[in-house]
Parts: sequence; structure tokens; C-alpha cells
Amino acid sequence: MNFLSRFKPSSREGSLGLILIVTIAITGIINPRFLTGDGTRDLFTSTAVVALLAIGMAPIIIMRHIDLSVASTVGLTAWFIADLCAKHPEFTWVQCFIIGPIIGMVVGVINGLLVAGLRLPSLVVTLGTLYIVRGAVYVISNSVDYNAQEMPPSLLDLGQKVYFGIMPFTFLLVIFAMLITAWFMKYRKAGRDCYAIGSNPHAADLVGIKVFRRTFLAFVFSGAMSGLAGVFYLMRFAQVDSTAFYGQELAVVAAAVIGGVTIAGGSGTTVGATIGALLVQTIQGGLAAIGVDAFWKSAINGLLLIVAIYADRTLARKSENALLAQRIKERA
Amino acid sequence: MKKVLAAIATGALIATAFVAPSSAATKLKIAHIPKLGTIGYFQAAEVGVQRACKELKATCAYKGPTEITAAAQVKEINAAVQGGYNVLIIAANDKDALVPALKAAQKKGVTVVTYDSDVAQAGRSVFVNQASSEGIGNALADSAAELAGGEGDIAVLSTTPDATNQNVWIEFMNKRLAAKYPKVKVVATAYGLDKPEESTTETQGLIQKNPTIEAIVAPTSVGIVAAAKYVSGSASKGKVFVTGLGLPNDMKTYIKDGSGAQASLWDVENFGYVAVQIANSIRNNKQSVKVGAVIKSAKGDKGVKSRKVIKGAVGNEVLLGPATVFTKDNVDNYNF
Repeated sequence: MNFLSRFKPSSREGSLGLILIVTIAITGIINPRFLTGDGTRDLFTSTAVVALLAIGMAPIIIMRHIDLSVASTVGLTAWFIADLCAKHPEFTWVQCFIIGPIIGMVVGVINGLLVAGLRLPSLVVTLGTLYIVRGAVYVISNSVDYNAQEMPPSLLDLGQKVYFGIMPFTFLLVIFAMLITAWFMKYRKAGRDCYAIGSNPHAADLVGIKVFRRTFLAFVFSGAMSGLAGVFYLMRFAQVDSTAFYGQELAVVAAAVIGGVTIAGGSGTTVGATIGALLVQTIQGGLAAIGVDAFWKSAINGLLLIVAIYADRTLARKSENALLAQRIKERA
Repeated sequence: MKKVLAAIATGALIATAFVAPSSAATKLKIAHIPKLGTIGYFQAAEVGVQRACKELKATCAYKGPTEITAAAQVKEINAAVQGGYNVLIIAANDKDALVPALKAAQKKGVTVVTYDSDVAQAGRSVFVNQASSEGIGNALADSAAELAGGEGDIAVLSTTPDATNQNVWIEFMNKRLAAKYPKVKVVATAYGLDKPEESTTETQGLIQKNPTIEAIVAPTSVGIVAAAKYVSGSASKGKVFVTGLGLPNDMKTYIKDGSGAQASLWDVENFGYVAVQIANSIRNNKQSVKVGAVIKSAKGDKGVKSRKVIKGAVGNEVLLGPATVFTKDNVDNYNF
């Protein structure tokens, strides 16, 4: 019983994993080619960008905030790096991996200062930076776009690199980021603080949790992940213009929420966010493999989101009731 | 003796002075105004403009605006007219907004030829259109049939189901396939919404759902790159070939990396060349550009021998010619 109750908090991730496997299996039965080495590799490759962003977004949502500027930041970073690489042919993947997160962090610092420092609502602030950053890309890019020719071969080769036939380098980094953040959020005080802030910001402040610092750093972290995601974007598509990754921020929020990161704050994990991203992409890829056209896919995505939130609510209510029952029992 | 010489010299001078205006306000001074200076496509057209200028011994300047707006182009137009340019070659950012400035220029005797994107009839003498939809459809069909080896299944990756241009090109491609390559069958059409993300996912889906396809035709510059990038890094490399509408520089990597991709587009360099030569014909050879007239091509024209002036969507126009297919054998000759 003790073992079971210890297992329980992560059962949300367990059941999500199960749903993921069932979804993959169903698609595989309808179209066996979906499960070939190429199919699995494609699933991981195409999930990497959104998964990375969902991992960056999870701590923010856990703290009852949101970061809508991530997709614009991906676009900014991707275009900026491609531009630098075109002007400096000596650049390799190393410079890209350093510069990307730095550009992202600049946006993160701005978001963090506005949200944590001026105590403005993050929904409005990041909606603003969404437009500002995208506008900046339009202005800076001046309609110039870049293609594989202008990008460092070492970066593109790394984007093609696959381990064990199915595990791309980019997704390996995603797993790494997921494990580190999951450990941090679960076992470090700073990580636990995030849950406290999300459960009750006022109380968290009163008990002396550094709300400003935690919130600020969460936005900087999300910015850094968006910057890295911009590099991933180049590695995957090898083409970029000022509209790169336009409008994809809600896909990231969807992945996190479907992965059990509650929009009301206070619960969720980066493992869940990653599985959520995988689930969304499996369904996207699965629908394409079955031959459903792109318009229906976005509608089905929306439906999935609503189902996920419904499941989230029901589960939350159930566990609330269970907790209440337990407390009553303990008092008796 | 000296006096005689002087008299002859003076006479000659007077003669030249008299002859000059009639044989030519001929000294052409050409301003090339693209949509935006920094775009590779227009820089390639400028190479052709320069080539024509050299042949005509004309003065040429590239007046690329720094932003892609009609206002920026109006500024360039006015500056060029004041600077004494007598020919304007323009790819317009707006159909109507440039017309007043261009009308004023024409009143001052400036010859205006539009290419790539037109303005209303009143603003220019003639429009040089890139290629007919039929020409593009034919190039797509020829390339796809070649990549499929003359027979087999192919698929189409388009932008959206209601994209007018793409649908017209696909229709002409299908016509050509039916007439010339009856054994090549289009078995599926997917839509990538002109975004790399969706285009890649749809390419994966096409290949997974239709294992028999040998070629994917993407009549969109975003879709073709996404499809080629995906195929080049997948197990389908060497089995499924990508072709469509694309810039040779965008596609060079995949045309040459062994995935055997191709791309089609009009020859942009020749585009600039033809626009200048036609302006020259109008100005110096009194070439008519009324619908039905035939314009003989200049020596260095890489396209067709002559062009007929036809009625286009806006007014009189001529077509550049058939589209060019870029393959690993010729792609290095193009830089745009």
C-alpha cells in the first residue's frame, strides 16, 4: 500500500504513456509502415522542437503563468542563426548551440522582468512579446530567407544523426533535458517552490518563498529552451524565413496540458509534457499516414485538447475527493 | 590650311549635333527597380539586366528599395526620373499605387516595362510575364515522368486545396501527363499549407500511405524544399524523387546530394535580359507592343526566337518562355 501510494503521483504519466502506446498501436495496425524504423525515427524527429518547448513551458504553467512568446522566439533564433551562419561560413554547430539559447534568454529576461518585476499578467505580457518578437523578425529579415546551402553542414549532419536506428540526436537531448528538469522540479527546493507558488501564490509569498526570483528564472529558462528549439528547427527543416514556426505557441501549450500540466497551476511534470508532445505528434503523423488532410488534423487536435482538459478536471476532482476522504478518516 | 581643317572640324561637330537627336535620344539610361534589393531572385534578374546593358552599351543602375513597399518604389521611381534615367524596368510591389508616379515618368518620355509583377495598363508600355501556367505544368509533368522512369505512381504535395496558382499548374500537369505519359498516375494529393512543419509531416504521410510512389511533385517553393529535405534523410532516398517549383539555390543541396531531386522555374537571369531588350526595341526600334504584334528576340536571348504580344490579365503582355528544369547536370549554371 505504501509502495502504491508512492507510485500514485506519477500515475498520470503512467496512464499517458499507456494512451500513447495504444495510439501508436492503432495507427500501426491501420498502416504498418508507421511502425518501421523510419516511422519511429520520424515521430521522434518531428516531436523534438515542440517537446523541448513544452519542457521549458511546464514550470511556468505550474506557477500559474504562461509563455505565449515561445514560437516567435523560435522564429527569431532560427532566422538569426541562419543569418550569422550565412555571413560566417566558418561557424559550426557549436556556435549555433551557444548563440541560440543566448538569443532566447534575452527574450526570457524581458518576459521575466515584466511578469515578475512589474507583476503584470503573463498572458498579456507574453502576448505582447509574441507580436514584438515576430515583428522584429519581419523587420530584421527584410524578406531574406535561408536554405541548406547557407547553413553549416556540421549542424545539418547533426540534425540527421540517428542512434540505434530510431533515436535522433535532437530527441536524445530532449530526453536529457526532460530528466534533468524532472529531477530538479521534484527534488530541489527551488523546484518544489514552483508547485507551492502555483498552488497558492499569496501563501507562497507569505511563507517566504522567493516568488520574484523563481518566476523570473522560469521565464529565462523557457527563453533558453526556445532558443535551443530554434536551432532544432534549423536542423530539422534546413530552411527559414520570417514566418518560421508562426502560430505554433498554442501547440506547445496543448502538448503541456495534454501531458497533465494543469493550466490552473500547482501540478504537472516535464515528463508528462514530453509525453504530451509525443502524443500530439503521433496523432498528427498518424492522421497524415492514414491520409486525413491537414484541415481536419487541426480540428482533431482541438478536440483532443478539450478531452484532455476534461480528463484533467475529472482526475483532479477525484483526487481532491480522495484526499478529503483520507483527511476525514485520519481525524476520526 | 589650318582654317580649312578647323572649318571641317566645326562642320563635323555641327553635323553630329544635328544627327544626334534623330538617330538617338538613343543613349539608354536604365534603372532596374525590383521589389526589394536584397532578394536573391531579383539580384539574379539584375545579372541579366547587366548582360543586356553591355550588349546595348547602355548605362544601368540597380535601384533596389530597402523595404518591400509601393512607397519605397515610388521614391526610387521619382529619383530615377530626376536622375535622367529614360528606361524603368520594374517588378511592382503594388498594382495601382505606382501608377501615378509611372504616368508622370512616361509623360517625361521615360519608357516603362514591368516584369514579374505588373501594374495597371496605364502605368507601363508592356508587361513581361514569367511563364505561362501551361509552360509550368508541362515542365512539372516532364520532370515527374523522367524521375518516375516513364511509368508508375506519383503524388502531389501542394499548398492548400483552394490555392489558385497551384491548382491551375496541377491541372496543366495532369493534362500533359494524360497526353504524353499515360502510364504515370497521380495516386494522391496532400496539402502542406506552405509551411515546413506541415509539408514535412504530409510528405512522411504520403510515403507511408502510398509505398508505390516514385516521385513527389511539389509546385511550391516551401513544400519542395521540405519534401526534398525529408527524403534526403530517410530510407526513401534513391527510391522516391522530389520535383516541383523551386529556386535552384534553395534546391541545390538536394539536387546534388544523391537524392536525385529536380526543380523547375523560369530562367530569372534571362528574365532581366528580356525586359531590357524589349524596352530597347520599344524605344529605339519603334517596336509596337499592341496585342498581336511580334517582338523579335535579341541575340543573347536564352529563351525563344520571338515573342507575340498577347492579352493578359491586366493588359498587353509577353511571355518569357517555357520553364527551365534544374537537374544535377545544369544547376550549377544558375545562381538565384
